[in-house]
Amino acid sequence: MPVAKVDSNYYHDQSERLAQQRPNDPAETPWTPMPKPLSECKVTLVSTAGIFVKGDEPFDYGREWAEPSWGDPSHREIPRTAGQDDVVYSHLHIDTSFLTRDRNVAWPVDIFNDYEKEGKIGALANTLYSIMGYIPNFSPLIKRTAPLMVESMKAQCVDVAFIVPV
Amino acid sequence: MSLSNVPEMTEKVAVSRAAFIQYPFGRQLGDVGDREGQRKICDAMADLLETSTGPNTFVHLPYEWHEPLEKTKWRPDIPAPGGLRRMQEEAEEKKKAASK
Repeated sequence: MPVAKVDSNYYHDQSERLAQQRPNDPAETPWTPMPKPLSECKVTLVSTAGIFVKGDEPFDYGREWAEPSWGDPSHREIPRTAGQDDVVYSHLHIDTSFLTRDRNVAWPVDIFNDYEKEGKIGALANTLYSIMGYIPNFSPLIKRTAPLMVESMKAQCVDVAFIVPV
Repeated sequence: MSLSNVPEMTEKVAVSRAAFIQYPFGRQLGDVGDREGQRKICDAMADLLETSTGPNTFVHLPYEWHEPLEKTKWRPDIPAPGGLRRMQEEAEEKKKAASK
């Protein structure tokens, strides 16, 4: 049966969090038109799966275990050349075993590599990005992490980011 | 361009373009090994990116997950710190109530 409208509470009852969430004024939603056809755009990927390259600094789960209402608001940069097994999928709030077996379940690097080869996108950027999506206090994410990611994307002349939250 | 399986939350956080999918957390593009299905969702995101003409453009994708809800795993085997603490607190409360 096709899904007519996606149910926000289907997999996890979010009603309490949704009730607490202050809504954005839709009139203030930012808008950047596509600068050119996707086939000419440089594209990057952003995940919330807590992905980091093996050997890089892990997300700070020690502090989260000590303070469960805290989540690491930093980000990690991942070279597009990093393979399936070159990274850790570390988010504590989801079953990451599926990502460990096939990253394209939520980290579609192989699909976007195909897009590049086929000319569906202009290019996949050299750097991809991940945050760890459990961030109850998102102020540092907005004030510090997001600008750093944007700065990095601009330095690489990225036109478009595809965000795949987990 | 974002994907989400929690539309109501996404609509509240100033996302200019989003595709909604009723797939489980951690597998929002499709199941392990289902490259065709995963690509279908990526294609839908790309299409929305190219066709949207203004902010707050949201599309509910019609695709249904292949497993019934009760058989669909997405939670980790070890609960996250917050969940574990809540479980411990609930157990403590039950213990206290039982001892009264």
